[in-house]
Parts: sequence; structure tokens; C-alpha cells
Amino acid sequence: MSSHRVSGILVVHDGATWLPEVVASLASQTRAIDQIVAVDTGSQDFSPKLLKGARIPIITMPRDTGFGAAVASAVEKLPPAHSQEWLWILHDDCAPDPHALEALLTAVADRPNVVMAGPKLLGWHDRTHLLEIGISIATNGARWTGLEESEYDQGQHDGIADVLAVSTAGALIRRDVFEELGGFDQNLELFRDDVDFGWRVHAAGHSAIVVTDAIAYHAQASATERREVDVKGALLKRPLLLDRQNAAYVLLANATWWLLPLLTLQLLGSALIRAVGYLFAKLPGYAADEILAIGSLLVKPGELIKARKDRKATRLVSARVVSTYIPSRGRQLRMAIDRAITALREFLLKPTEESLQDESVLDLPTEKELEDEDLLTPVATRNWSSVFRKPFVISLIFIFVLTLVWSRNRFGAVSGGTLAPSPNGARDLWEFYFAPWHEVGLGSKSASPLWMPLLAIASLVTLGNVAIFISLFFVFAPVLLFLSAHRMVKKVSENRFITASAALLYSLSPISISAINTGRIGLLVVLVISPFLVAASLEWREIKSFSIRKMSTLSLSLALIFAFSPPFFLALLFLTLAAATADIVQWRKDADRNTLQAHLLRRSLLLISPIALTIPWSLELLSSPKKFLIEIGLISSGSGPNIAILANPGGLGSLPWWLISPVSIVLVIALFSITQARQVSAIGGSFICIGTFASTFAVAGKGTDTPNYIYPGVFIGLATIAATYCAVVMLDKVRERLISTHVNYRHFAVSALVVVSALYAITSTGWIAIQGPQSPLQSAKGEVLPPYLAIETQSKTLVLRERSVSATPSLNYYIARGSDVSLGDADVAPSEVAEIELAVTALADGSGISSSKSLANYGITYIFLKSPFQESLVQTIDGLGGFTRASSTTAGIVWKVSGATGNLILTDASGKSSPLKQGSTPDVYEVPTPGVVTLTESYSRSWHLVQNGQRLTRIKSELGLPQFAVEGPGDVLLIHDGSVRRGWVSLHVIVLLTYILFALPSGRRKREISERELA
Amino acid sequence: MKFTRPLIVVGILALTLTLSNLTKVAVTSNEFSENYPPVVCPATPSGESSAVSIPSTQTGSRVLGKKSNIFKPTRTLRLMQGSTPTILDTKNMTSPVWQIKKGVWAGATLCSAPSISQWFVGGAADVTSKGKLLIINSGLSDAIVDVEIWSESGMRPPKVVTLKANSSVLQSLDSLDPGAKRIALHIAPRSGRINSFLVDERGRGLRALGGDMVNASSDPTREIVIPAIPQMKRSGKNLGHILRVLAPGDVDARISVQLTSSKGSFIPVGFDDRMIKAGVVTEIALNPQLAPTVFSLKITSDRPIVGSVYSSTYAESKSDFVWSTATPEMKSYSLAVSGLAPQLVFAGEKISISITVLSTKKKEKKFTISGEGIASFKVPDNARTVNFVEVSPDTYGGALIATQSGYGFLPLNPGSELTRALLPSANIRVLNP
Repeated sequence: MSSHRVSGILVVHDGATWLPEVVASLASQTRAIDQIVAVDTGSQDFSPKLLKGARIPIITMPRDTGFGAAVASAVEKLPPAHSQEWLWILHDDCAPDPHALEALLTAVADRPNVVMAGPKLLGWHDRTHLLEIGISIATNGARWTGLEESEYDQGQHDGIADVLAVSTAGALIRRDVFEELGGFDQNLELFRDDVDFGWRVHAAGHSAIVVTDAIAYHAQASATERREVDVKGALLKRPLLLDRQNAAYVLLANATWWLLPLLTLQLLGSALIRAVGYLFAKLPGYAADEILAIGSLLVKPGELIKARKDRKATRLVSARVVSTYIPSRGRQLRMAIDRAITALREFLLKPTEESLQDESVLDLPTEKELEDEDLLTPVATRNWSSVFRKPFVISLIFIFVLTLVWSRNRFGAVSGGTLAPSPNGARDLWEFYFAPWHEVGLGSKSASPLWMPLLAIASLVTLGNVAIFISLFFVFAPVLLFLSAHRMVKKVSENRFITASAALLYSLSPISISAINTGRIGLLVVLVISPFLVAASLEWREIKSFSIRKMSTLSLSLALIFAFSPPFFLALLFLTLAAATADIVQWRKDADRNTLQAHLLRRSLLLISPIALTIPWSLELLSSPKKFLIEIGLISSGSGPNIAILANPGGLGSLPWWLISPVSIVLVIALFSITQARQVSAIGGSFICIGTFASTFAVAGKGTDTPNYIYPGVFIGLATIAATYCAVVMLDKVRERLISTHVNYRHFAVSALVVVSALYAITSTGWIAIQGPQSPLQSAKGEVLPPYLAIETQSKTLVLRERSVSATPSLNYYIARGSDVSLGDADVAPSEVAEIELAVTALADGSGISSSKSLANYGITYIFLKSPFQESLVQTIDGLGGFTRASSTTAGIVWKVSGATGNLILTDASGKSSPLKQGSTPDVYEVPTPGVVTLTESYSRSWHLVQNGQRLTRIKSELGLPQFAVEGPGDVLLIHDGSVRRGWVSLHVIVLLTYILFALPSGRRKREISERELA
Repeated sequence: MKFTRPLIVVGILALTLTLSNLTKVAVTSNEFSENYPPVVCPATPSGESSAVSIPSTQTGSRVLGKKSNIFKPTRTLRLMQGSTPTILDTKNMTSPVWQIKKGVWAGATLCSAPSISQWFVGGAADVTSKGKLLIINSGLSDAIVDVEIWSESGMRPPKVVTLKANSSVLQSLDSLDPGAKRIALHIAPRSGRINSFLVDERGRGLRALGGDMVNASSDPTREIVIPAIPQMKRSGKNLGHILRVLAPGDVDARISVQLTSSKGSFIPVGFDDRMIKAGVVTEIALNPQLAPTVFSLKITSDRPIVGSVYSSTYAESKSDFVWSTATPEMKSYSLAVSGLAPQLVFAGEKISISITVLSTKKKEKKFTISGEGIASFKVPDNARTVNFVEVSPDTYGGALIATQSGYGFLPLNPGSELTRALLPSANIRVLNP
């Protein structure tokens, strides 16, 4: 070891903060440095003074000098090389441990092939934070240390290990090899020069090691933006940009030539992904760095070509010799997943003050209790049985068991009520969402609602199986409702008996039961999510202090609920108007115009955001405001005002009127209670009144032209949430008050409330257990269209079916396109065509001699009368003419409509009509003679018929169908132009991403992170 | 002021409820179209003649098989029926058809709306049979009809008859089940607007044995009533009857027959708890010792059955036979009787019927018929229509008509009933399982 000679080279650049300790550590080395020289690259602080004070010779260089150039100039100034001379490269922010040099020299002494050795790098502030034990580079350019985030050093990696490279901070490099390889690549002025050099060392047949007995404490000042990066090549003085640029340079300059295309793609791809990630973290500068880094490198291929030539000159073995040091993709993926899980766990499970106080499940002893305990007494163990005595757990188990009984007819794909059968997979929902044209009825260009892609995303939980997801959602809906309500009320009261009871009653409320029994997925989403927004809504007076992030998060939450329940917008409008009125009243008192403007602006933003976030679907609602009153899915009516005022929406699957819930009673009693409950109950009571009034009106739509009473689900749901909240607020402190006062109206009111609640809980549970499974939402309901019609996907079938609505028979019809109704169909269903309605009416009353012709004009090929039916109707259709029986089975009777009909009908000059035959390729039809071609789909300007590359003139026929004049025979191509839809979807995505961007937690630039955090 | 807030709350609730109920819109989920389907009258086979009693000269009619679907007024109260079936738009009136083979036989039936199921218990397919089954498709689409045949040998495989739109087909009875002496038919259309009529004419060589139109009865039930069976004498001897019964199911039936005449009710000997073999047309001779009169039969069974009574008649110095068939419970309706003067016979425990008879001179007369067990009423000769205004429950009726050519039976039930057709409305729910 004594034969070694060590020349220390200390590179300094504005390092006065760390330099005193660095110099001290160099001076205290157990193996003294033989000679040392410092290179100051234009420091503007008192670094040079410190160096002079330490009697270290200084070489001064310009401020934009790179690290490699600084080291090279120092080497030049050194005396001629000694046979066993080592260069010890030192940073001004890296303090080696006193034994570092000794340990390094000891390690290299008996390893003649080692030409580069480095110490274990620990954090400057937290000296247990393991920074590096050798470094490498991933194929995406990331700096690879193989360590976990903020890994604690407890000697787990100790030892001497071969590595690709070590950091230049404290690196011991054999001088002869250093000079032979040309030193650090001066194109890499800062960052990654160490990896590059290590790679070249290996390619030259040498090796590098890390010696963990040698320790250095590194502040990483440049990488963590503690000082400016002033090197010449640092575009915009951005360290990240320089780092990424250099990483790409290292990979492309050293890798085997045939790997270059793959590496380029990988670098580009990972840069893009990281850029998107930075954008979401609201760090656009970093995002730009990622893109600029790759771009700036690729536009200057000359440097790369030269660098590869230089490396080839010194290479003795293949560049692939380093492959063992490059982390595999699997290892990179594992590390990325580990980091993501850690970040997620920290985000989700970060202990809060509230969670620490929450004893709902784990009833841990308090600090005071612990203090009171005699330390000598054995700690009392809490067995599992104590958990099952907690009200929350008992209620949860009860609701879980009840829901299993309730759902006994719902295991499997469910449909019924307002819920149409689910498609096969999430892909179908996506396709439906993006489709510009929906084959529903005579065809519809309506925008698909946003709840469809949201459902598709949610169904990832069940690996994209929508049917299973919906089934599970409905089966576990009571449990979700319970948990959601309990989360809301546990912040109000610490009495878990009250909170659990309130949550239980919420999950068994009339509106919850109705929503579950009738398959109202949208209303259920409202009922599950809204309790989470109660805390924010109670801060309505302080909206001025809401951050942009909170506003964005609230907007997204409101939009999510609105996407699943259009009537929610009306409730939001009411709340906004009420709050705005209160703002104006307050303004008249304190005359603070700025506050008023800020409040009104933010309230307007919260009102408008759900509309903006759901375009273009929301615009269709605005163009037809009655749609705001209709829930998603198939339309189903409520039972009118007299039952709605009891907080029961009525209708199929709802509780009978005589099962009176405590909701309305709570709201009334709360009006005479404490202020907090009074305000909430006033809102809840208003919603009950609005719901009651709304339920008197009837609307048609969603594929039906029969008016249905408005279902006031959202209003009653919000009222129920308000009642749940009020009940807990009232009952929380009432016990003490009742004990301390004489018998008064409070005693009677509370007694009445408790009795009604108990009665309701018992009776509704009984009703659910007995009647619940018989509700409209059930599994295995079969199919409407028989298989032989279901395969006729290109044909339209008029389905006639008798249905019972509240024991009243009715005859309904709709046009099927080779399948039953599916999720979303009702939401885009077009309005009924008067001519078809007339033809079908005449068909039923026996007067429709020309019904077959009318139906054929609209491309209807078959009539299917679904069993059961009245025989008289069969005779009527048989007697009309124009319909030929095609089949009669237990499923029903099928007639084929006589006459020329199909998707495209050609009417020639003589007036003769004939259906066009489809050509060899889809959407191509053969036109035999000139004439007018009628497309039997609803009229839309997006329909085009192309012949010989020319779009044919389109007009709207008297029947409201698109018609095209064809002047010569030949093939025609039918297309529906979806550009408009694509444009709207793109705009929607932009708006959505903008909101998400603002709602996400902001990332911090490294310079904003405290040094202690950085360690 | 202490109660101000409660009063406000109560006031708001009351106002909400009141306003809501006042503004509540009415919603109907179904609409109906009501009409009486046009009725179909059978064609007249060659060598015979028939006349249809029409309620009004303005009653619309059209002939089956013509391209035109327009109904034209008959301009007569007694329409002579041609060789093709006629479709009448009689609205709420029922028109009977009186068909004769002059000097040989006579029979009566009703012009009726298309039916989805008709049972005929009567007729023979042996060498004496000259009977025919007339099947009419008055619809404008092709029709397929299953003709199910039972005889003393059991059930034959169903015969499928295809009819073109707006057409009829005449089928000889002896071709349905050659050699069968007693048959029962079930006409079950698979598609189309189908009416069927059965003529049972018999002869041995050149000797005519008489004939009649066998009226259709409804689906098998456990209790059937044959309300009007004529009891006659010839040369001082009672002319006999034959009860023909079929239990079309798979299980034998046990029947009891109760005979009701003006002298009272009784179960004839051998007719109590009598077993009828399933699927086999069974005939039982019935010879009650009664004075010439009319009587009714009430047959109860533990299995659904159909049945009718074959009676030999002698009237106006002419021998004939008549098939008295089971009828459904009577309800209020109107029967055109111009040209006919039938004897109306009612059966029931407590009969109370109000009748209005409109004469050809448009004069109305009201009658009330009451009785227990059985009651009868002779329609005046100049009657144009008989309106059964009120009918007591559990009352069954039949009409007997005697002319020089023969004797006929007519069930007293409407040929066309008010049909309520649901008018459809668009609703995508029809595609939801």
C-alpha cells in the first residue's frame, strides 16, 4: 500500500457551504493524501478564500468549465505520473470519512485489475441515508443505484463489489488508465461522466469496485439544485435537462451499434412518459427538460459519431461486457412497482390527526391510559372477541348478511328495472362511447354519456368484465352505503353506537332500497359518493379560501356524480343559488365587494365545471333541459308527491308507503335543534319539497314516448344524507341534556324518533328479506330476441310486446337491431318517428292496410310479437296483409314484412323500389341502375354515399331519411363521418386532463425540497 | 311567537303537498281501440240455399275472395247467401244463417268473428256422411290451420290445411277419418283469421236422412250446458236423443248429466258418475220419458269435456235431426231474426231476462222472461231484432227453429264481441329482458 501515491483533485464551484467540512475531512485522513490540487471553476462565494486558508493550491478556471475539463486541467498541472499513482477525485460538497482513502487503497492493493474504486456515499444531513454503492445506467437513461428510495444504511450492502462505475465524488482512479482513456469525456460537462468513464474502463479490460469500508458524505448540490449549473453545455442552466441529455449520450456513445435503434426508441418513450408524469405533477419545466434533452442530442449526431469513434479506439473488449451491470427490464419494473406501491401507501396511509383519534375498529389505549397503567402490571391483551362487540363491526356484519339474503336472486349478470343488460366487456363500453353513430332504433347520433367510460374504467377491478362488476356493485351496494355514511358521521360524533346506527339506517333508507331494487346505478353512485362531499359542502362560507387544487378536486367529484345522475345538476344549481343568496345578504351587511366577487366566481365555477367536464353529452342536456330530470338508464317512474314527502320515491321495487322512514321526521325535528343541524335540515327539507313537487310532473324520452312521473331519487337521496347527518348531530349530545332537564318536548321528540327508527329498521329489514329478491333487478332474465332474429344484425325488427305497468296492460314496441337493449342504449335512443308510430298503431287496431309499406320504407324487415300476447292481436296482424308469417315459437311470432326493404333502398326512374345488395366488402353496395338511394337510418349530415371517389348529393326525404341521387350504376360506399364526434371527444379529454392536472398534488422542484428531506 | 317556526314548517309542508297534488299531471300508460270485428257467414254449398238475417239494411258486407276490401250496405234485412262466404260488419249485432236443402234438411248457425279455437262435436265420416267442413281465411295473409280429429277409434294425426289469403276451403268429412261413425273436430289455426263451419248431412243411398249445421263450441270445460234440446214424438213414440261426449285429455272423465225440463230436474238412469274414455268420442243414448217439450242438459265432469246432443226431429211433417250444442253463459247482446221466428230456450237455476223485440215496422216491445230451470220464449213472426237487455247470471240459451225443410238449433251467444285492442306506444323497455 505504501507504494501507492495519491493525488487529490478537488473541484470547487460555489461550494463554500460544504467546503470547510470537506477540507477538514481531507486533512484528517488516516492515510494522508500525497499531493492535492483544487480547481475552482469561477466560484462567486468565498470558496477560493477557504481553499487558500487551507493552503491548497488552486487552479482557477472559467465559470462555465465542465467537471471533466476541470479535472483534466488539474491532471495536466500535476507532476509526471508515478508508477502507482492514483487520482482521488473530490467534490466540494463531498466529505470523506477519515478512513476513506485508507480503505480504498487497501481494497485496490491486491486487485491489480481494478482501476476505479469508490466509497459508499451517504447523505450529507442524514448520515444513515444510503445514496450510492456504485452506479449504473438503465436502458431508459435513468441513473441506477439499485437502492430503494431513502434506503437506511445498516450495513446491508457492505463489502467490496464489482460495479459498472462509482460516482466521481470520492472516486479513486489509476492515473495511467485515466490518461490512457482520455479522462472524463468533456462533452459530459456535468452528470453521468462517472458512468461513462466506468463503461470505458470496463471496455478497456479493467474493472471498477465500490468499497463500503470507505465512506463519504455527499450533499449532491448540483443534482438537487442547491447551486446553479453554469457549465457551458447546460442549456438554460437546467440540471435535469443536462442530466437527461448526458444519460442519452452515454447510452448511445457506448452501446453496441445494433442496439442503437432500440435504445433510441426506449429513450424517447421513457422521456415522453416521464414528461407526462411531470406535467401531471404540475412541473412543466421538468417535462420540457425531458423532451429537450433527447431532442437536442438527436439533432447533433456529429458529437455522438465522434464519441463512438473515440471509444472504439480504446476498446479492448466488447461494449457488451457491461451488460451484467445494466439492470434488466424485469429488475427495473420491480423497482418501479415497489416505488409506486410505497408512494401510494404513504399517500393513502399517511396517519392524520383524525385517523389517530379514530377508534372505530382498533380501540387502542390512549396516551393517558398508557400513563395511568402500572408499568409493572402485565399489559392486558385485547382478544378478537372485543372487536365483534363494537357497534360498527356488528352493524357491518348485519348489513353484510342482510345484503346476501337480499341479493339471492342477483348472483350473475343482473338486469331489470332501469338497468339494461351489460355488454360482454369494458371494450364494448369504450366502443360505444367513442362511436359517432349508435344503432339504436332508427339510429342515433347522440353523444354517449360519460358514465360509460367511467364504468369501463371501474370494471378493470373485475378484469374488464362489466357484468360481474355491476353484479358485485349491486350486491355490495348496502355495505358501500353503510361505509360511506359512517365515514361522514364519525367526524360528527364519537359515539359509535349512534354513528353505526345512523349509517345502518342510511343503507336501509327507502331511497337506498329503491335504487338497489330497480338497478339505478347512477343514483347509487350519488348515494355512495355524496357523503364524502358533505365536509366540503359544510365549508361553503369559506369557499374563498379553497385552493385551486381543492376546487379542481371538487369539480371533478361533482362532474363524476353528474355524469351518473343528471338531476344532481339541479340539486347543485339549487345549492349554488342558495349559497349565492347568502353571499349577497352577507355583502349587504359588510359591504365586502371583493369577497362577494370571489365567492360568486368560485360558486359559478363549481356549477359550470360539471357541464364543462362532461361535454358534449352535457350540451345535449342543455339543448333539451327536460333530460336533467331523468336518471340514466331505462326510464322508470316514481309514485307521485304524497309518498315522496315521506322520503320514499315510490315506483317499482320501492318500499310500500306504510313503511315510514324516519328521514322526514328527523329533518323536521332538526329544524328546532342546534344551529349546525338546523342549517343542514333546512337544506334537506328543501330537497324533500323539491322532490315532492318534481314528482308531480311527467316526462317522456329515453326511447319511450309515454310520459312517466319524474323519479325524485337524487333530491330524496340528498335529503336522506342530510337527515342522517342531522340525526347524529342531534343525538350526539342529547343524552346528557335529557338527563339534566325535566321532561319536555325534547324527551318526546327523541323518543318518537327512536321508536320510529327502530320500527323502520325492523320492518324494512323484514321487507328486504322477503320482498327484496322479487324486485325488478334480478339475474338470468333470458333474452328478448330469439337467436334466429339476433343473428339478423343487418336487419331491423319491430318488436311488439305486452307489458304490465302497475298491473295495467300496455302494448309497446321498439325497433331492434339484432340484439336486446344494452347499457347506454336508452341514453342515446332517438325520438320516435311519427310515421312508424302511425303504422304500428294501425297494425294493432286492424286498420293498417298500408302498415307493411310504411314499415318497409324504414327498413323494417321483421315484426316480432313477443310472448305472451293476445291472440286477437295475432289475428289482426294476420288479417292485414303485407306480413308473412316466418315463424311461431314459444318465444313469439315473427312476420316478414312484404316489399322491398333493407338498409339501402334504390328507387329507379320508373318508381320501382328494390333493396341494394351488399358488395364483397362491408359498407359497399352495388347499384344496378341510376335512381335515388334511400338510407333507412335517421337523418344525419354525417352520412355520405361515395361513388367513384365523389360524395353524392344528400337530401332529407319526406320520411326524414337521408337520400342520395345516384346517376350511374356501380358500387357505392356508405360512410358515416365521425370527425365531429372525435373533435368533441378530444376537447373533452383536454378539459378533463386540465382539471385532473390541477387536482393532482403538486410535485416540488428539487430546490424546494429541504436539505433535511434530501438528506 | 313561540309557535312561529313550527307553524312555518307545517305551512311549507302543507303548501308543498297541496301544490303538488293540484299540479299533478295525469299519466296513462295504455290506450285502447275498441271495435267489433267483422263476422264471417258461411258459403252456401251447391244444391242448398241460405239466408242471413241482417240487423239493418245499412249493414256493410263484402264477399270473400274479392280484391276490394270495402264494405257495401246490404240494402236488405234478409241476405241470400251465395256460394262464397260473406263478411259482414254487423257491429254489436249478431246475424244467424238459416241454411236449407229444400225439403231435405235445415240448419242454423251464427255469422261469427274469427276464432282461435273451435270445437265441433257432431257429424260422421262413414258411408252415410255427406257432411262438409268449411274453413274460411278472411285475413289478407296466408293461413295454416290444424284440424284435429277424434272418433270412436281415438285421435287421428292432425291434418294441416293451408289457405291462401282471403279464401276458403271445403273439406268432406269422410275424407278426414274415413269410416268413422262419430267424430269430433278441433280447429286450431296456427295463423290467419279463421272461421270454420260444419255441415252434418246424411243419406243412405238416395234416401236422405236429414242434416244440420253443427255449431261450434268453446274449449273443453268441466261443466257444459246444452240449453235447448227438442223432445218430439212421432206416431206417439218419443224420438230419441244421443249424447256425444269427448274428453280430449289423456285421462278418462267421469261425468254426471242433469236433465232439466219444465217438469223439473233429474239425472237420467245411467248418467250419474259415468266414465268416458279419454280421447274417444263416446255416444250415449238418451231417451227421457217426457212429453213433447224442450229440455236442457247440464253435464259436470272431473275432466274437461266437450259435448252435444243429436236429436231426431219431426216437424211440419218432415223428419230431420238437430245437433244441440253446448253454449257459453249468456250475456247481453242483440240477435237479428228477420225472416225467422225462433223459439228461445233458456236454462239456469234462476232465469230472469229482459228482452226488447224490434219489429220490422221498427216498433219495440219489451218482455221479461223469468223461471227456474228452464224457460222459453217464442219470437214474434215480424221481429227484426231481439235485444237481450239484461241477463241473469248462470243462464244459458239456445234457439230452435222449425221450418218445412227441417229443424235447426242456434246458440244464443254473440257472433262478434267487443274487442279492446291495446294501442302500442314506443318503449325501448320491450328489448329489456
